[in-house]
Amino acid sequence: MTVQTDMLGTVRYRFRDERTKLSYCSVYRDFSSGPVTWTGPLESLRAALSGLSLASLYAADVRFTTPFDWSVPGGSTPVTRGIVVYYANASGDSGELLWLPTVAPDADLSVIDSLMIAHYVDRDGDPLAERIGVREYVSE
Amino acid sequence: MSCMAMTQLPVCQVSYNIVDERGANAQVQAYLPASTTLSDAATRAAALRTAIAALTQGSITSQSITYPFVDPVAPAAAENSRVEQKGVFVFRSASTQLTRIQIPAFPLTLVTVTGSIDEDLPLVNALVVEMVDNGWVASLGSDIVALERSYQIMRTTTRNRRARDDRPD
Repeated sequence: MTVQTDMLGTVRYRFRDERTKLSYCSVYRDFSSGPVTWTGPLESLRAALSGLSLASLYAADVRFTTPFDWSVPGGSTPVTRGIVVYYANASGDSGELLWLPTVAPDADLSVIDSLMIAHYVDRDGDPLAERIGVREYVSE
Repeated sequence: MSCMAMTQLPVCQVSYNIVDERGANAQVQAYLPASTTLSDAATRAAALRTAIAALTQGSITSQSITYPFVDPVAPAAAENSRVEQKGVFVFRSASTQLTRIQIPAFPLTLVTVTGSIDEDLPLVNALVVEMVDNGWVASLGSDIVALERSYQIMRTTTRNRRARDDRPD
């Protein structure tokens, strides 16, 4: 079920059994009064769930989903086509890719660039420094 | 099983779902520092969404912000554990909404001969107290107030959950 309220989070406790098969247990919590940190109730529920499962409780995540009103788009480009934008990270050893389905290769990326470099990081947590490339992709 | 507290990964993930005119879906993913508050993450996600919406020929149908955690020293799974074996707990909220949680690899030793879960057992009672007294809510945000019922089920084993040497070609 999609959670409708922005501050209402889905906490998913992730399990792995002896065969390394995966599953999870979802619960809901309102995070409007505090930060998303692994303390208090999240940890005490982890302990309770762990005591009731033979599987390994190896990870968890807290997700906030916001659905939007939308209509069928008029553009004819399928989501299997688009561009991938390459950003270098600040330490220069790696970076991050931003896949943008249905976006044209000649699109003006200046606003996206400024947002990515000001606020976003690569998946290791290093800040992004500059855009270093754009490539068109077709995945069909 | 005992284990240490979860460790937060270095990023929180922002993702958008984009649908095209044929109804096919694709995701866009970007990352913010894990220290970003939910409020700031929502602001930054909204700004990036607006920028993407201006360029995409598809429609953005939803946005998610996810904070991931891992337990680097989680105990191994027990012998013969099967995630298809679920313990199901149905809770009632203050608004009378019913909400259900399913615990994978639920031990059969906690199940009665009728298939219900023995709610008098301390481990089971600890879960119920946690869910009712510690601020957990149903999917529409109403406080959970009581356990309605509990039972054990066996979910169908999907192809991905079958043993590798027992999959049809």
